[in-house]
Amino acid sequence: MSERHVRWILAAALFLQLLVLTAQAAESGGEPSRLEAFALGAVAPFARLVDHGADLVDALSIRWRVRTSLLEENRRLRRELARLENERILWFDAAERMERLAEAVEYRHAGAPPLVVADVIYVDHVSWLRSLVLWAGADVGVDQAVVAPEGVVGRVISVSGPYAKVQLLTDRSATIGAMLQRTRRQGVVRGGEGGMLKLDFIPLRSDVRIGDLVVTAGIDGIYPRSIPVGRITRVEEGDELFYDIDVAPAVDFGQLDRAYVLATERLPDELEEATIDAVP
Amino acid sequence: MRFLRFLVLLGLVALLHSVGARFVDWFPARVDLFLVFVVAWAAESNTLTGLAVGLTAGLAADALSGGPFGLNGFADTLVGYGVALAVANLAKLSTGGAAALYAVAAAVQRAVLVLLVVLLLPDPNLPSLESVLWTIGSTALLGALVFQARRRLAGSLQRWRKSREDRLRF
Repeated sequence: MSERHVRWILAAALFLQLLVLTAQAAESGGEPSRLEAFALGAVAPFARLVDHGADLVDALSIRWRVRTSLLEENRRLRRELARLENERILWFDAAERMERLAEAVEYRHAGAPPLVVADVIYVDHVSWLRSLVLWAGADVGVDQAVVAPEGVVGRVISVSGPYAKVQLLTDRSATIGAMLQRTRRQGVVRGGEGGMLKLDFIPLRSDVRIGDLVVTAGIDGIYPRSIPVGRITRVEEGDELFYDIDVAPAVDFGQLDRAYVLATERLPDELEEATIDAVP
Repeated sequence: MRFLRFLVLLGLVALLHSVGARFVDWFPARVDLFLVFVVAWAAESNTLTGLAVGLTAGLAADALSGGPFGLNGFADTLVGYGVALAVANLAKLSTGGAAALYAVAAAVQRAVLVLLVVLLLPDPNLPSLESVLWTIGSTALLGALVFQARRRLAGSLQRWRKSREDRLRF
């Protein structure tokens, strides 16, 4: 093949890729392409293999190291379990009372969505194109929320069979409807510099303090309400009417080895359109 | 056969990348094994193979990284083609020359990636200068190692073939 033909092929390959990239940039948050799903399905098994190997080595070394302390830990955990059992009974009682009161005033609230437990098989939380890949083993969908016991991790952006790629909360293009737990003041959390988050649209007259817990507001159709997002580490007056607020994520992404995908349902299209077009 | 070897090596690169990311937090930010693979392969190929290798390995890298799918595919296609073209027009490479080639390839790839995200995304995440310099340095170092290993392997293979031929002639 002549060099001229190769140049044509190069131009065609670059042009096609540019088209795909432009289409993605135009409809951010849309369904992933088949090529993306295929690539994820082809490469993610290698990450899973590594994850399995590392888990095996961890398990062996832990078994070797903690054999002697297992009995003591077992005793401690039994005491903890008994305490938690008592606590659970109290909470159950409180929940039942709340349910009865809610029924009396005909208050309806969304129940907790079902969870899918997923293994974290690849995480890159440091580089500028940060990502996380899960092995969920079951069907998960695009735009489902991913959480850890400590708080929000991100949302699913691409799925291939049992594998799911997650946009981390710290990604610059990630945004979450959030609120201050103490005052219920709502704002928007987005990815910031160096793995930190920014909390925007908190007016200057609001009561905001360093150390305040920021939780999900449940208004974006993806994340349910009251899941921890992070804690405020810096508050300064911004340029306009709002504070400039830094938030440290609640989740340490470097320590993450398991996550939970929330099977939340997206808002119906008609409702989303109606919200966008709404006139105040 | 060559295609099968390509797939096996690409799988190995994905495996090594996953191992690096699993055990060292900063690994994906500072080392790009997919790029090293593209340059190593393209340096021994014609331009068509160079661009095909760049495209495939770049998309494999995209599968694991964040950002729009195809960023690395685009940049690595250019790098694969460029490296094959450059090597075809160069005299024999020394180890230092090979390291320089890998470093230039890494710098071009980062520049293309940054240009793409700036053009495509409204408020893009950009790599720090430190991580860019690390990637260029690590790519040059790994490239020099690959170059040396390949040269030694080729020398050993040649000696083995020659001794086998001598024995057959005897």
